[in-house]
Amino acid sequence: MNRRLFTTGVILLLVLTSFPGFSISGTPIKKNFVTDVLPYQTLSSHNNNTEYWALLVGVGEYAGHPEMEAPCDLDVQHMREALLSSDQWHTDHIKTIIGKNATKINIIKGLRWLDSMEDKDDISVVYFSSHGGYLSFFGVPIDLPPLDEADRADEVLVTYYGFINPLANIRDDELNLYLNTLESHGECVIIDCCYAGGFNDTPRTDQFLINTRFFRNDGASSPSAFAEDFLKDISKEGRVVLMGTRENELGWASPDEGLLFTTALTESLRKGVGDFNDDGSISAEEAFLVARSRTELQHPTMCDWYDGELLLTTNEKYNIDFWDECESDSLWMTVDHTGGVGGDLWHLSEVDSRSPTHCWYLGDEESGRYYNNMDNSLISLAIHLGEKPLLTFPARGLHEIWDTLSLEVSTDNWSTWFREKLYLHSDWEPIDIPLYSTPFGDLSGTTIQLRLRFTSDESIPFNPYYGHGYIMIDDILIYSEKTEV
Amino acid sequence: MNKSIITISVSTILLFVGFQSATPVEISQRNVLYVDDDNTVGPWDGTLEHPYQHIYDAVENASDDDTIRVYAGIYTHEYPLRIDKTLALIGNGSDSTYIKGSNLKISKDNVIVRGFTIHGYDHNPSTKVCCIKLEKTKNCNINNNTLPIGLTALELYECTNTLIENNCILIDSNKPIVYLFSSHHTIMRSNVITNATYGTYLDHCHDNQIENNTFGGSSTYVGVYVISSDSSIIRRNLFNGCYKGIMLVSSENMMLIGNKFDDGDRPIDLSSSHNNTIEDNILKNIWGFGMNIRTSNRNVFRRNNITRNDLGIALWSSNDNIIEENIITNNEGHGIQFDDSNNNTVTRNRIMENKGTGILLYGNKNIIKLNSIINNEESGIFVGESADNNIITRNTIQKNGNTSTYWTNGGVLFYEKSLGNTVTWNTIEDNENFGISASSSWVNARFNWWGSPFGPSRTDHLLRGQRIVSKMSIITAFPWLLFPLAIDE
Repeated sequence: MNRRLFTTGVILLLVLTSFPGFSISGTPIKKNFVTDVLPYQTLSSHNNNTEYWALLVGVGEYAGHPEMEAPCDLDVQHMREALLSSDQWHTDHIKTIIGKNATKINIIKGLRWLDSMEDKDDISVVYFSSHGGYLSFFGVPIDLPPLDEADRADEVLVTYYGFINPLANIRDDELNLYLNTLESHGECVIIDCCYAGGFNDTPRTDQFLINTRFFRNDGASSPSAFAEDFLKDISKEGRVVLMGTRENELGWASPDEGLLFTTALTESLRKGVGDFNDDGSISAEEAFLVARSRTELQHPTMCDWYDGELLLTTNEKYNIDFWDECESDSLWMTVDHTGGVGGDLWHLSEVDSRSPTHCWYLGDEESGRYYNNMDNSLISLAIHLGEKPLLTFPARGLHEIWDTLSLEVSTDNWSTWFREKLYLHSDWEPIDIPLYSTPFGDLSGTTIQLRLRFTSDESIPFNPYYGHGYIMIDDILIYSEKTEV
Repeated sequence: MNKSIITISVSTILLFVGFQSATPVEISQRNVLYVDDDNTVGPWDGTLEHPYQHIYDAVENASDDDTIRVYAGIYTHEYPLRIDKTLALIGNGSDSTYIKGSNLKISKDNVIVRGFTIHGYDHNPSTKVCCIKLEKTKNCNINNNTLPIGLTALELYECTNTLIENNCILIDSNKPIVYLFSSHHTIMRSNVITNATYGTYLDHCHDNQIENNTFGGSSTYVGVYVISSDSSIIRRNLFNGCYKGIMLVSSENMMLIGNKFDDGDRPIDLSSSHNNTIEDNILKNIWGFGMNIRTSNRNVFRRNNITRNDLGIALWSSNDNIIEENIITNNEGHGIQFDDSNNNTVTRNRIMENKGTGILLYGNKNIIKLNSIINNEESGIFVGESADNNIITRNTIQKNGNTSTYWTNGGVLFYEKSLGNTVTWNTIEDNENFGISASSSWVNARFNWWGSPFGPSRTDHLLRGQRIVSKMSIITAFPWLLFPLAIDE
């Protein structure tokens, strides 16, 4: 883009957008949060002239605040490797900014570099890993022009100097301004951050915990509001925005592996897990579905304004053998093996979910507990497996230690089966079952049925410490390796 | 087996047995059926001469208000012994009368079970089960039994007026060992419960009494766990080595009185529990928090003795509590610690010789008055950042910070920016380093006795009293008292 034209545009935009009600994107805001099963469509975003460009920013270090450090450099490294695992990505098409270099000026330079390199035939990716928050001075919320924030505070992404100078952060308006200069017909913006510290937190108690207040900390500035406000502010036609957190959540990270959402997302892109429409490519939307089911503790959010699927990597490694977001009971049936004594408590519920609105729930939602003497199964239809199949799904639950949830698998319509006890936690965690290594041997190429079977003994139908008892299952996925014909 | 003891003096023995609560039919007035496992050849009619061989035969042939006397022996049944009649089931003593291979399920009012060792085991599924289960009963009496094996010892569902007394419960299980659900007016006393993960578990219960029991054993996680319950008394129990002694979760109007806790961590733990009274308890040799109070409001902590623990009382996000007349001494850490806790009143406590601060204060609008805060190794009172509008008045704050190597310790320390705090009418003397030290704070410190009628000193001064250290702060000390006030004034 012509530099003079760009500069003029920036000034004009700044002037114009200082008026309330002006939307930078110039288009009315319409939310398009993905809530349904991904449509099995193939609207390829790729043509022969398409080039793939990416700006990857991982802050992770913060001037004057070493306690806020986070493993964002790892995230950038993982994202870079994931993209480069696919042939359409080239090293000179990816710019990374990490650590002390992740200042506001350098990030803006990076965005301008991206703008200078891409054109309308291309696909662009902007990835940002850092802390997130609201702009304020001494606790007073600030909405700098354009005055577009209902809560009168701009959302910001924290840069290297951001904790000692709030104005050194990237505001949502600024990010939007630079993103809007991109001409790419497809843009994927990935924001993995949390609202108020906790970046160094891990989902395990054996790791260290930092929980620091930053910027405002009141009801109006909840993580939910942050994520949704940010999404609203940077939504635009042709853009897919992926965010690592949803309501009432911090972003979580492992010091050794990086942020959990980024880890899951890059794993999907790099390994090629999630080719739901079997087109040999992993799109942003497909990678998100896999990452959502595999990210512990938090609820990733997507806003999809791209027509079709925004392809990011090509991969021929895995097939999807089975995929159910647990939004309907069409693929499952429930059985009470006690004949009415213990009760049939498996049902679809909106109490919580990884995917849009429902999950499979065992228990009585009113009492928050299940029953004594239960033997209750959730049974799948027949599933044909490919090579080296892996079953994975997120689950959470509280139950008494003598009561058990087991996965049972049969290859002969329940004449025989094997059982594997599942261990759940109070928060969502992914469970992986390699179906190529079972008591029945390698189940590759066989047709199976799954049975999630819960049994309780005659007393204490709940976890005594919490006083609650329930099981939740969602997003059940089996994928297998592709074989050459 | 000495059966003559039983045959001669059944009624005599029974007369000496005191039924101290709800037992509507005196045993001596009942028709008696006998059971003896030695009578293997019959005949069996339940008489003294021809006792039944099996307990379930006696139960089946008994009528309401009968007594079944069971001779010493081992009674093995292959299915649960269901008692659906008003019976008194009396064994020859838990050291000689065993019920194995089946548990007891009681579904009738006014049942007495006494003098057995009962194994919670179900032959058919070959699994452990609950030893004695009561469902929707009234006025039942379970006493003088030993319950050594099972998933749980006793389970009460929707029962009222149950007496659980003098039982010895030895079950080591991860379940609540004595479990009460929606059961009320239960008296549970003089039982010994060892190595139970949850010794007693009150779930949606009210108006129960748990008293004079002993909870112990290194694998006991919680002695008494109370959830969503109210208006019950837990008193004079001994908790020895329990990780947590009493834990209240979402419970109200409970009274924890006169219990003794020795060893363990967090002997009294409140979570989201309000309007409870915790008084006259003794907490010693605890290696964690003495009392751990989380998001719990309007509780009263009175006359407790909290000595030689890691820390005295810790309040987290808990408001409007009263802490009064406690003895909090010789703890390894702080005496009382407030974190994000407001509007609490700390009065007439003896907070002495703790190795941390006397009171560590992060919170607003708390009142600290009439306390003796003496000889604590760190500061007498530590006021943290943004702890505003607290009132510290009529306390004796003496000799604090004496053995600490940190010059920042003394009488009252305002560590970081805080506003609107008042320190008035106190006796502040003989503290190490300073009487009051403040950083970036504004403190009203009028009307205190500083150890000298000439008032406090800003720099070392022979005639003047305790030193005031001000770092970017305003500390107003004039006028001061010319003589110390007695603490009760």
